Amino acid sequence: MKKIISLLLCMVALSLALSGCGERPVVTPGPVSSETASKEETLEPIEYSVFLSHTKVPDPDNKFLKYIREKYGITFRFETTAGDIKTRVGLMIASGDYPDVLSPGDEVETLIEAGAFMPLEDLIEEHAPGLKERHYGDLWKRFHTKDGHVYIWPTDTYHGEYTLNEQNNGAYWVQKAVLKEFNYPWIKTIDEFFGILKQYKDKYPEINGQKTIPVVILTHEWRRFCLINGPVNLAGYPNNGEWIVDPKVPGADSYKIDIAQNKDITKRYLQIYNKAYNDGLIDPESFTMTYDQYIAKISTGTVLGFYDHKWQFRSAERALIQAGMPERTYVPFPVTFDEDIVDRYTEQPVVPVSVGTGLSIKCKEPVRFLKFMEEMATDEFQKIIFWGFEGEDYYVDENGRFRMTPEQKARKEAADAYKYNCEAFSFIRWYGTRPDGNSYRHANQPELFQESLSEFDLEILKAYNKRNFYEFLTPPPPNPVYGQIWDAQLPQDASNAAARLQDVTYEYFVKAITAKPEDFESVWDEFQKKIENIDYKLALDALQAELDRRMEMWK
Amino acid sequence: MATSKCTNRKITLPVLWKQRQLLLMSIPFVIYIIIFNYLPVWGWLIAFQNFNPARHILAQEWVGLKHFKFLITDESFLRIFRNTVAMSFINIVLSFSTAITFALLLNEIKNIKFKRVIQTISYIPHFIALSVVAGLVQSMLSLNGGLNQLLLALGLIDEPILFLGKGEYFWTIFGITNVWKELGWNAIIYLAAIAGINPSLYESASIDGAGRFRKMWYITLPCLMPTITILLILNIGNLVSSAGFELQYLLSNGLNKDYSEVIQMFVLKYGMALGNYSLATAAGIFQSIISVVLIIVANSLAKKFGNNALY
Repeated sequence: MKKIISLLLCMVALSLALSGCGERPVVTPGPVSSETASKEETLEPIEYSVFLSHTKVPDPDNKFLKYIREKYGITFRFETTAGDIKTRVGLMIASGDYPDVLSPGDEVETLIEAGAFMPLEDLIEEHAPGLKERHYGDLWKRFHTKDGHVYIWPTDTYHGEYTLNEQNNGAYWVQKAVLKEFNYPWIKTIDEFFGILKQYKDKYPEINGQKTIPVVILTHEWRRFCLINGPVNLAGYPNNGEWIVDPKVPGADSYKIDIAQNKDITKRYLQIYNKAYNDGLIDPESFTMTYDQYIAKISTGTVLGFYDHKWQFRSAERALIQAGMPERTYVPFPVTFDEDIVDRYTEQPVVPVSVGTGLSIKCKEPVRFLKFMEEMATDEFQKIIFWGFEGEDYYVDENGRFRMTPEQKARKEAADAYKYNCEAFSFIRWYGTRPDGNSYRHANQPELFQESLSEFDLEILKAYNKRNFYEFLTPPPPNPVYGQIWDAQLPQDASNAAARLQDVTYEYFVKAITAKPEDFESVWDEFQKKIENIDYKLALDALQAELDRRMEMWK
Repeated sequence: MATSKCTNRKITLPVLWKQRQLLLMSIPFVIYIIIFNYLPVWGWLIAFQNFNPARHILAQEWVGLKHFKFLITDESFLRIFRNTVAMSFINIVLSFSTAITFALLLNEIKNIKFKRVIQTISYIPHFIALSVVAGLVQSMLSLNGGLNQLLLALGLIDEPILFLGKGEYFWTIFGITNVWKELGWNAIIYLAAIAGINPSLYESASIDGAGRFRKMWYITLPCLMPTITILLILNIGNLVSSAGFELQYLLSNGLNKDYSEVIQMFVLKYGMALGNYSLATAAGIFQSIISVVLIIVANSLAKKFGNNALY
């Protein structure tokens, strides 16, 4: 008896252990229906394996996947990356085992260098000219790499007029309740920013029973650019990461890149923040908390203002609205050092050349896929991707405008919406205005935006005489030819130097801001000495070379 | 517990045949170790190149000791090395002393049910993932977290302290967290060893008039010496390589990084994150060599001071 029981227990233990081993989950839609098999030769079912840099895999019965399968005979097998994408890509390269389609996010350059991508320029020009015309447009030249080939096509491109309803990127955000309290002032300089927050804090030391926090700074891991890019932002330089590119005004013939860390603007920035910290206006936990704690803090409604990009704290705003505190959400302001500095928080959309999708050298039928991409690059298909199927996901009103009912909108914006829509496999996405006047994306459709505003928001917009919150910031000038330099890939030594520089910058920014006023000068001097020891010229030279190359090639 | 010195027996075929069952059992594992631990060592070549995954390993660019130089001459390296060694040292000292003490005390409990309950509770934290533990520590030590509230309520401080913002506290926080997590688990081995001690030794000690603590000091501890020595030697080998990584990585931030950064984090930042596999390998070699030297030294010291040694 004992033997039997112990044998059974052994088997249970073994099966429990083995259940941990399993195949990586792979989404394979159900078997292809027989109708497609009986259609013409070109619609013979084919499966493409797709490498994605994210984990948002659609459900197997996703209706868009079904549509693609029935109309084009194409099914996808998604391979996702949970965890470190660099290691995954490194493994893929070392084994030489590539899926058919590669959408590797930031790792495009690595894969190009490894020879993983198939050159596409001849195939596109011969078999999918519509793709070149409609999707690449003027960008065709830019997507040629140094060796003269085109390996990827961009994901997002812009067509027609591109109007935004809200600022998605960086700005100095101020809580709406603060604005209402002081009768809607205009906040332009960084001193005014801290000043008004201090006044509100003195008046209301507690919000909802918790201590009022005037300002927080996000410094967790790679998000610390919120702290490091400060001097460059306040001085009115365009978004190039933490680098200064002169001249500020676009349209010049050549640009020069430099570091900001040893300039006056950095010292001024640190002094202002140091004073604010010692006045108790900056939350000391800014420097120890994680991103999740940061979002949780903002969601309590006790934070009055901060610098951040909207896409980073969007979840906190959602939480505030759900908790019934819309007056605690935020409005962007074009804050700079002085009245006369023009802010550059908004930008015309830039299509980064290092992000996109391409076909690997192992792709069996590239022409068919490219033809499919050509189909995707049409207004009709884009309507399906962004709006959905008429009647189910949206409706057309009597003026021909696309609208959504509240249920349709809620379904589209739900957190797990990616399972039911085509977020994972829209390799081509168009933004801007359609020929029929509607916006390509539902998020940019003015009617839908107006419907989503609360009473409170409408009051604020009226007080400032603006149509939407994007208009609070200065409209963007046309982009300089070089695009944005932060997406340049540097060779090994240069990127080491740049990483070192950023490390030291981060360390001393924190030290300088939290130092006592009398220690500030010595911390600053130490910072400057440390910088001189780093060979940052390597990084600067590499970046300048890339900048010059872009000016040359993309003119 | 008798310990036998390794006698110099000739390894002849009849001897091997007598021990054939043991040999058969260990052969699979020896093969496993050879394949996974010894064969990959040829990959150390990567440390002397500028490794690019796209090309064959023998077709790479050779750069000699460049990566080792980068590692050692980085001006933060001394500080990082100090942190790693200090935290390992704290870890070893604390884990040994607390685990042995705990095992000794637990051994004295007469009520078996109570003893078992305590032992089970003590080793449950071992199974909690370090990232969860880091989250717990973060929220406990935050400005309105448990510890601050306790201290405020007791009137010991006027204003909450930002514990994770002070570098000097980091090593203490690290030590305490590790002890809490590993105490029960480490004590298991010692409890097992204690259970193997001949009870007649205790009886004769009682006859001689020894009390509890004397018994512990003169019987239990000496009998535990072989176990302690072996574990100590093994752990010293880890002094440079694994002071732990997850806890430091998750709890370090701008304010405490002078005290919290360890070698693995440096390698992650400049090696893996930038795709610089050569640097990561160089750091690994550096740590391996130091570990091997430490084990050899520790082992010969152990042989000198007694006859308990690892090999």
